Amino acid sequence: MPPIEVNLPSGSTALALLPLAVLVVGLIVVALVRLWRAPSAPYLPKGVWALVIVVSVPWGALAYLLLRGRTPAAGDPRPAAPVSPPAAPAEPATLVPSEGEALVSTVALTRDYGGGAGLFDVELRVPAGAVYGLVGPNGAGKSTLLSILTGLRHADRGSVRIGVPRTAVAVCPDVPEFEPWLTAYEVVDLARHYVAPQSGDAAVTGALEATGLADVADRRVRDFSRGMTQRLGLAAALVGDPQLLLLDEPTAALDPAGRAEILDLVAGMRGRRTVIFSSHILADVQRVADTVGVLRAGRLLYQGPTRVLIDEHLDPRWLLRLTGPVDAVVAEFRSRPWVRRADVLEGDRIRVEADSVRHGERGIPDVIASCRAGLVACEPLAADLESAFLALTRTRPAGEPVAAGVTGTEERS
Amino acid sequence: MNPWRLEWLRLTRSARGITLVAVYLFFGFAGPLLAKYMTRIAELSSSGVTIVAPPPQPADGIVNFVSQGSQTGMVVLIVIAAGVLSLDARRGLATFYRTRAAGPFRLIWPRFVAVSALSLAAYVLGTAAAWFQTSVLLGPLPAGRVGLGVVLAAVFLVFAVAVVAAAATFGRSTLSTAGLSLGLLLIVLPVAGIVDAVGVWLPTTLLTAPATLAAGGAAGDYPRAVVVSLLATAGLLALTAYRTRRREV
Repeated sequence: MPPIEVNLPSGSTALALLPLAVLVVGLIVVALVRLWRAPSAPYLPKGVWALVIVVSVPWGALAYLLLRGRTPAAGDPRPAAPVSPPAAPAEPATLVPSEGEALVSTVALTRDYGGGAGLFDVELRVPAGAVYGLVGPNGAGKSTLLSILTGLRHADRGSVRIGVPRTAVAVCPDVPEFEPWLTAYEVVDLARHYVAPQSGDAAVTGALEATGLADVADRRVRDFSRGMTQRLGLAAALVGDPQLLLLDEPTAALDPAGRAEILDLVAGMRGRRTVIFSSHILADVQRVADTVGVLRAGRLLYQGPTRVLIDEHLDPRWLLRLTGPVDAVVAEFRSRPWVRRADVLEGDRIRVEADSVRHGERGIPDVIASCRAGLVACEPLAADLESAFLALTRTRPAGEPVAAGVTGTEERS
Repeated sequence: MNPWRLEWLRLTRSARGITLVAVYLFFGFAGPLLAKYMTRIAELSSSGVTIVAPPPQPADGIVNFVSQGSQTGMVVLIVIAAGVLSLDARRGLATFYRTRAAGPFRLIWPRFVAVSALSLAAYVLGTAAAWFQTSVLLGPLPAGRVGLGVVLAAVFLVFAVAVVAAAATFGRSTLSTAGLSLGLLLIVLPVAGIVDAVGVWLPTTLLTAPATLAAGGAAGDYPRAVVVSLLATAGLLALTAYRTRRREV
């Protein structure tokens, strides 16, 4: 076998090779160090990336450095970080909710996507200082409505009137996203620069404290869980002290404790700023919203006080405990025209649903007496927004024209 | 945190800056080496064949850098610029920026300037590396002509970034923006430039200016392409702002 001659470079060639070698080795080292420190790698396992970086000189290192900045897909598990409870809301009540004064209103707002999707003739009316809950099933048009209010989408026709300058409006989308290489503080500070450049660092710190993120202010956003990112979206919205806050599903990604904290925060804003928030979690809306709008298939079915919706759009129900012929009583209830439903529950209790409070209050004792049963207890069942929402959306056709400012007085059959 | 610092952090923390600089530096260091040893490398890869070629000249170092580095560097630059300038690629981010900045130009301008500055810095560093290698291996270069070539190439790079910015308003994702830009800058314009009467007006002519000028080409061939590039850059930026303002998220 002939000897292999290896001529090592010398002189000018060695001088020319040196910086190239330093560059290539440096790139590989930088890429490997970043790979080592990263919790995960994009598209490939970390081991495969290490092999690619070492073997494919220097393109593997360059490819990894370019791709590593990619945001992980939604839903990727991320280590949770400790989140402090939000700071108590600031002093209340500088903006008093008023029946007559609407901060946000729309006239015949329409955006037709075709195939029945979109918004149709929506007459929104949001009182100043109110917490307005926008509810509706998926595809009802909640996000479209909020997008039009924020100017991110255009209406086909109709008009929007917002009684504050654009700089006083803040938005938090349902899935907030931020540059993953910024810290939480930097994100909120960037938002401050755009909307309230005159305010100082205290505004940033205050917004982070209000949303419970003060302890993780220096952490990069790429390490945040979805719930923390949602809090950060709220902090970025609050930093400019907006007069109108639009929140799209603000509690969707939060655990029960986090939800309660954010809802308290939103409820504490009542009277100080106007809040419109959409949610499919009706319990959340009931908890914080004093006014509610119900959307279905792009039409506003109801708009008015939450309490009125619950009181007037829900069939009244009672829970009875009897002695005597339970089955006969139930049969008698079912024969009465004002009874919508009568069921026997566990323990011989009876649940009666009537078409009105008056019929129930007068008719129930009459039925019990006619069956010669004994009444042990009779209690009205608590009404909630979910039941009212279901009752409303069950009974009202989707295409029915909208009456602006409906306050729950529509006729029921 | 102002938008300029944001762009600085984008380029440094996300490794976009280091990647582009590394690509141009790599070809800056490797180009002249290949020019010097290309004959020997060819002989080694085809055993028994003796290749006779004239000894490499100093201009060949820059020519090699431009011919190899420009293509690859341009691809990487376009990918990086597409990532930075695709404002609406991610809905949540688009909502964050668009509902806060006073207008689209306030979002586009810092990004455009930052990517342009990065591309110029990377190109200048790559040329400096090629110059150093050429001086060590092949001999001195005409400084004035190479310097003028770099200025002309810089005009093209700024135009290329403006093309990416405008392409971002036609495609929504980073991939579509990069694809559209690559097709225009690396296929459509070079093919159109094959026709001499058209080529002298096209910005792509400027990309090879350092090599052409170092090899003795005439500087008078470029003013038309410079004027077209500058006008097109301004027009593309105006188009970008117009389309961004009208586009829905």
